[in-house]
Amino acid sequence: MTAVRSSTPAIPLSRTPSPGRTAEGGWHRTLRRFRRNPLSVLGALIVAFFVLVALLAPFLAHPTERNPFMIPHTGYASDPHPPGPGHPFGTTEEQFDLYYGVVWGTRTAFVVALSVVATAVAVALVLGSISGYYGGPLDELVMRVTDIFLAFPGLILAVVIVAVLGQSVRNAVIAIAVVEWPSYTRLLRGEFLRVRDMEYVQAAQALGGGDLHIITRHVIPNTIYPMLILASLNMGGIVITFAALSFLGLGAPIGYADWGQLISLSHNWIVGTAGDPFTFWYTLIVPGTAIFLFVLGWNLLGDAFRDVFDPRLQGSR
Amino acid sequence: MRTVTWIKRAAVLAVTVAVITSLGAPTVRGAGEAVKNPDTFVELQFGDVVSLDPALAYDIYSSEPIWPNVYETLIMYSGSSLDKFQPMLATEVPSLANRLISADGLTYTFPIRKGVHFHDGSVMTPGDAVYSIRRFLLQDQAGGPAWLLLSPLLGVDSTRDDSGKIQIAFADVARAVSAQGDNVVFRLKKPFAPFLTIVAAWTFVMPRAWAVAHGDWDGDPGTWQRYNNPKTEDRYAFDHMNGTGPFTLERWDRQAKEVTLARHDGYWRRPASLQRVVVRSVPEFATRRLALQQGDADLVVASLNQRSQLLGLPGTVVQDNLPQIAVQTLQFNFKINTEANPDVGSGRLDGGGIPSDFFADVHVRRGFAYAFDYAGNLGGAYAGKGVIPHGPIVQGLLGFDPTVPVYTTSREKAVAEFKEAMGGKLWETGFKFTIPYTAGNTARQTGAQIVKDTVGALNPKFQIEFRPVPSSTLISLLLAHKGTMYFLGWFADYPDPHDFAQPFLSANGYFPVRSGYRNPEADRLVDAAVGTADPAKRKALYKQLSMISYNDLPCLFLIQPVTYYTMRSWVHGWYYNPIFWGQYFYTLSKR
Repeated sequence: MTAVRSSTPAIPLSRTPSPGRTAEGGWHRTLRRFRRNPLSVLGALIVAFFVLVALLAPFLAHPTERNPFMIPHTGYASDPHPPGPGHPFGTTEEQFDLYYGVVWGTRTAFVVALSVVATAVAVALVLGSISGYYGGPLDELVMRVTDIFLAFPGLILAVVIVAVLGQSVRNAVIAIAVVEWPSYTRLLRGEFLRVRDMEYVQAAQALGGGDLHIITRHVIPNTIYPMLILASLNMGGIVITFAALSFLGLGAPIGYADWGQLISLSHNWIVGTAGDPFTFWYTLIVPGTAIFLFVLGWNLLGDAFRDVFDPRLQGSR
Repeated sequence: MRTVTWIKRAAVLAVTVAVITSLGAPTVRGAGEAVKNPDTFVELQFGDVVSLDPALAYDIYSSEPIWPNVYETLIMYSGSSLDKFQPMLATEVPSLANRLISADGLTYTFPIRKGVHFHDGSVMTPGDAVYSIRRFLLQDQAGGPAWLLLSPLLGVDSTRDDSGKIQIAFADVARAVSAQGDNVVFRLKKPFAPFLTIVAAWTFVMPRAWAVAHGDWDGDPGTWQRYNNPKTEDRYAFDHMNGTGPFTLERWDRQAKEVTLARHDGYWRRPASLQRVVVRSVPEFATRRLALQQGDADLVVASLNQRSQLLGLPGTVVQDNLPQIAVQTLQFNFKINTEANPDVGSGRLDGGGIPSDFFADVHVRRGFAYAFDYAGNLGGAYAGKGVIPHGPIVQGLLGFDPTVPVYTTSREKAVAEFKEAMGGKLWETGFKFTIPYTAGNTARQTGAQIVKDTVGALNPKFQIEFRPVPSSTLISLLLAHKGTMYFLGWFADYPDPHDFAQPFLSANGYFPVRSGYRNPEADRLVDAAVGTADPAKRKALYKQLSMISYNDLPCLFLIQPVTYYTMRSWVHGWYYNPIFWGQYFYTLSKR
């Protein structure tokens, strides 16, 4: 029934089979493999929960400030107050509401993690592709540059960059992205080296496909999964790095809904009062739990992605 | 690759739980328990030293080691008293009765003690005292302490005039301070009743030979101008000390922000009980508190809003509600140095910064004054421990007047002022700047938060940030005119209203030198008030000055707070005098 246009000059390049999709029916099998591991499900549930909290933030915690990311606070009394009516999670130093901070902090966490991942992946796609596909001096140059970046301890490099750029959420995101891109680039370049000599790529080249076409249509779709695994495993790590920057006073400003900022506000109260080190437990436990769960969720999900997508593990389960 | 991380995380968690649990274990160090480091006294606070030169240092953190611990004065306040004195390097306290004050109140004679040794072993002479006091007068760094003695002795508050040219003659200085036999004689310009209170805290003595040997002024009438208005680090005495006090400087570690003093065994009185004193800057409150709790620190300084966490620690005592002759202020810089200044944004009135003369506009200042939440600051930053001042003259001083109006929080008035500011443009363009505040001073952090919140709530284009900087950095920043708006306290140099009127309102005063505020009428009144003997007339002049301060609004007077110190109960011999900038370690012992 279908009329085949016989005279088309365009090369009808067939879609190459992706490693994750087999004849059995890709997504069905993926889902089954995913469900087989209860930890994967737990991870997915935790992440889904945070996604919901982030999406519903305006309903869960109604913003009163002009900038919804600024945590409302009543008065300037320094001592934190325990959970109670009006403040379900209590208040931290200077009466910032912990519940509000945790809810809107979820948005901050996603914004930061996704921005960093997106930036790092974008840089990797450009530099990693060029480097891996063409090789030679260009590859050498890009790889030595990544070496230079990887030679610095990540957090220290991020601290230096924020210190130079000035304190703000945006600058912290830039700093973390600068720290993260080399590992993505190297990974993608490695995958490119593996894939670029495969028969289907050679076939595409033989058929006269342009470099851009081959990279975007044939190589990247077959090298992107390890990147996604790395990115999902990295989501938690990025949030922790950002929290560390905020804790050091280099990330979000005081009063900004960010978990690291909330922990920073608790640092004067961690030791409690005389005889009771747990007097102000909620100042630390509440934002700490949020970070813990977020990181746990993404790590479990990342592990699950790896199990499902990584072709090298296919035979093992 | 993740399993290792998980094991690591589990280990970190276990260690954290163990540490937190151990904190909960009773750490009672009551009576009967051994005193930790019985010969060494450790004080932790959040400020750090700018200079150790007694003729230049003019902040409480620098002054703590200087006086009366390493350098001493001719006489000193007796115990906690502010009007009784005890002889120190002089053998008698001058009075009309002992005829050491002349009948006309212009000449003060101090018989100098014999057999007092400096830390380098040399013997103190009246010549050393005269040299040191002349050096104090003539070195005169801009915005430094020299005015304290220049004012009563020479009738000026700076060695330089407005254009920066030298305006005093050495002969006048030589006449004002001289050695006569075994005495040091001061000749005042006009009778000035509080003169002894200045001598009691500002006549530090160092050996002339030591100073000269290390490149300082040699006391020569012809060369002093070369040593006038130095940079902070210019002199050998900047980081070396050689006084007569009970302690010698062992080490000033500028990196660690720590000063270590060692006992001076050749002290002219009985040597101190403590062998060593360590004063360290630890901005992190929790660290300070844990060190005190574990007995690693003997005394900690903390903001009033941390007080609740220091009350009732086992084995410690809180010396609470100590009155201060002090005022905490929020300063405006009228002429901001915008060059390489990270706090002014774009440095222009374009919504992304502030121009150099931003705070020179009285409507801007009034806008801030009406926006500020004074009650929130008193309750939140100072735990309610203080009173809101009526202008520069604080409670307890002659000239304090509760009828002087104060600014109160009013959103409408603040909006009205900001709408008038910068020729009406400010409301449309908005502004952005950063307030630097002393790291570790949580009271000032709260104050900055209040400014940010209250002013930011008026107009979304009003953006204010704040950032912590070490106290020594803040002091240098202000001297370079780079402060935008900043919190600074003023502690009495001596208990007299002149010490509050001049620093706040006189062109050569501490704050105007840094902020650029000028009002010739205020200058005139300050001079008139200090030269007036009749208390009633003086009081009236200070009221006029307080009104100028209200109308011109060179700064906001936020609070006259009380203070407190928390120390281990094994500390004995501690006493408080509101004039002390820190602790007097001589009388302290640990047992």
